[in-house]
Amino acid sequence: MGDRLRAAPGAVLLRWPTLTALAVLACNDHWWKAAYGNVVTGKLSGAAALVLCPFVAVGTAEVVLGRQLLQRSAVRLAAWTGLGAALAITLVETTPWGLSGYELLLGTLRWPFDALASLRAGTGLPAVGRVLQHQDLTDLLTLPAAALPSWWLATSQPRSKRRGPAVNVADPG
Amino acid sequence: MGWTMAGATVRQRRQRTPWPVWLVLALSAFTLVATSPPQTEITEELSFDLSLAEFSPVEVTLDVSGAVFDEEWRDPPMLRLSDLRSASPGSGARVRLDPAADTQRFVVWADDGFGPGWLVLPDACPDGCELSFVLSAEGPSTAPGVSDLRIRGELSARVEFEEGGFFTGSIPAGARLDLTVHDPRFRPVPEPVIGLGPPERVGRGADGLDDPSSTVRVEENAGAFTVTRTSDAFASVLVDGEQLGATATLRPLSEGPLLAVAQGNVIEAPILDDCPPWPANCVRDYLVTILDGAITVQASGGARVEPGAAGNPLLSDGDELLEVATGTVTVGADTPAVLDHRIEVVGPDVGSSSFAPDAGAIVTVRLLDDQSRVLVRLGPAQRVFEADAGSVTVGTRLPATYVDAPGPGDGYVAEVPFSVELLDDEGTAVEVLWELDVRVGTFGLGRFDELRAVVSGVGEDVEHSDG
Repeated sequence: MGDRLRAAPGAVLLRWPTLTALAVLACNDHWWKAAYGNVVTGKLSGAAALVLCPFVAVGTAEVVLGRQLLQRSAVRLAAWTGLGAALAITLVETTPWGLSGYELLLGTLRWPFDALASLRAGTGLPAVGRVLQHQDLTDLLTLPAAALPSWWLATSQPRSKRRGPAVNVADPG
Repeated sequence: MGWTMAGATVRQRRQRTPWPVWLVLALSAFTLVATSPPQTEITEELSFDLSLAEFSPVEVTLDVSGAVFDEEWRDPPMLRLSDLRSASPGSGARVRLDPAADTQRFVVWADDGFGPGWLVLPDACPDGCELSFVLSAEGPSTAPGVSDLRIRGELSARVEFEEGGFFTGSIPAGARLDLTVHDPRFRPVPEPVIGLGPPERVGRGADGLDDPSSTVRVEENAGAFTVTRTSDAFASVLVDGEQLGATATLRPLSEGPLLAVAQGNVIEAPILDDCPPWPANCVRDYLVTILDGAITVQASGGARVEPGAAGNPLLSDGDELLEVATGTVTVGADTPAVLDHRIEVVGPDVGSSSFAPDAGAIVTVRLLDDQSRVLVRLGPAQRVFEADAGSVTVGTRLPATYVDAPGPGDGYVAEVPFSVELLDDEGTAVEVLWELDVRVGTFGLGRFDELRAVVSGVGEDVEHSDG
């Protein structure tokens, strides 16, 4: 990755942990589960998603702000996101209303993609539905994965100490 | 944005986000929201706006074309249908899905959210197909003066695939639940039961055979089932046509994982060679309690039986059957090749629709003519029967309607059409004898002592007898 990309907002999304988690999640959901469905593939997506979420949160924040976050801020955001995701997964796996909420939330979030697919197929707009999710307490074993992003951000090469890589100094007034 | 630093105004320029970041961000968002398969369009809402007295059957087609099946659990492929519910909770309105004739191996019904039911897909549907159901709704009350009470019903069906207890399959986008109103004709509350004789009261028997310790234990043994009688109270029970002795071996059914079935006086139990690894749908051990004509099937050994589960659409855990009518039909030169009958059942007024006894009927037809083929229809179920096959048994649930009117007839009224059609009769008079063996039972709460049933039909071709 070039220096310019490395210093760009959202560059964390291009680092190897993010790309690995993304690749694992996509491959597991769309390939490995069907080909080698077992206990490992049953947990892999959950772990990969827990890793991916904090990175996506940091990357999204940087894209929105138009600059990279300070390392300390990025670590904090990743930690809080990971904690929130872990808590959400716990509620989903242990409570009926958590499960229902997850099904509805994910169903709503995926609607634009489903709508695009339906429009492309010429079948009209689909209704907002739910996703299929099943409670499995053993999924809680994947929760430690939520801590990996903040740990990696805290221990990897320090990021810029500045508020932004590009600063214009203009004459006062 | 700016701030003062060392006497100068420092402006931060908003950086452009490079396209790879946008790409990864979009891919991440898509992958995260797509990690759980959608319930897709399986969830549909069906609105009833019918008077309680005119609920009409609705044809339901569940299209699972392109559904994902795993080779390892294809036999038998199963779906789980849940969240069937009425939109009028507490009213007692019931939504029921009965399979069409070609998918008669399962029944799903729900009462205010009860369920789910397991569906065994027909063998000809390994790669996805359309499953047809008949959807019916039943109102809780048709008390005088409120006949125009209207109710809205909602059908919400979730279809899930199960593999060994773990859900790994999914229904891809495009799967849908099509609801089509079919023949929305006015359907009044059934008239008082009429038959070839007064309705007969059927009972559990006054000979004290309902001793709970009098059981027959059915155990799997090397692919067969062994029945052990633990009491001498069942001298009238035959297994496989023979008197039940200390032990007897039950015949396996060829139709797959069914529960024990009562066919006349023959008890049949399945071989569960293709039982899925997960025990949810695998009954390895039966405890069969046989009372005087009433049969209770219970699963033991840690297995469980889902009400309305895969297999026998009539019997499930705790179900009981009673023989209520037997008759003989003669088809000759003066009778049509199609004999239409109707089985009607009046159940007790149990005081609350929440305790509605559900009823089912089994009709066994024995064809004594050795040259004919017949088509036996019982409600949505049908079977083609060859003359030399001995007998054929067809079973279905009875679509009961609750009647809460004062006077005779209150309680539950159910009727189901039953017909026997001579397939290869080309107008030539053929003497054929039919024997009707009608059994009616309650499901869940049993109130046999107040259950009445009659069989009525064409002319005088049915003789009603005591159950």
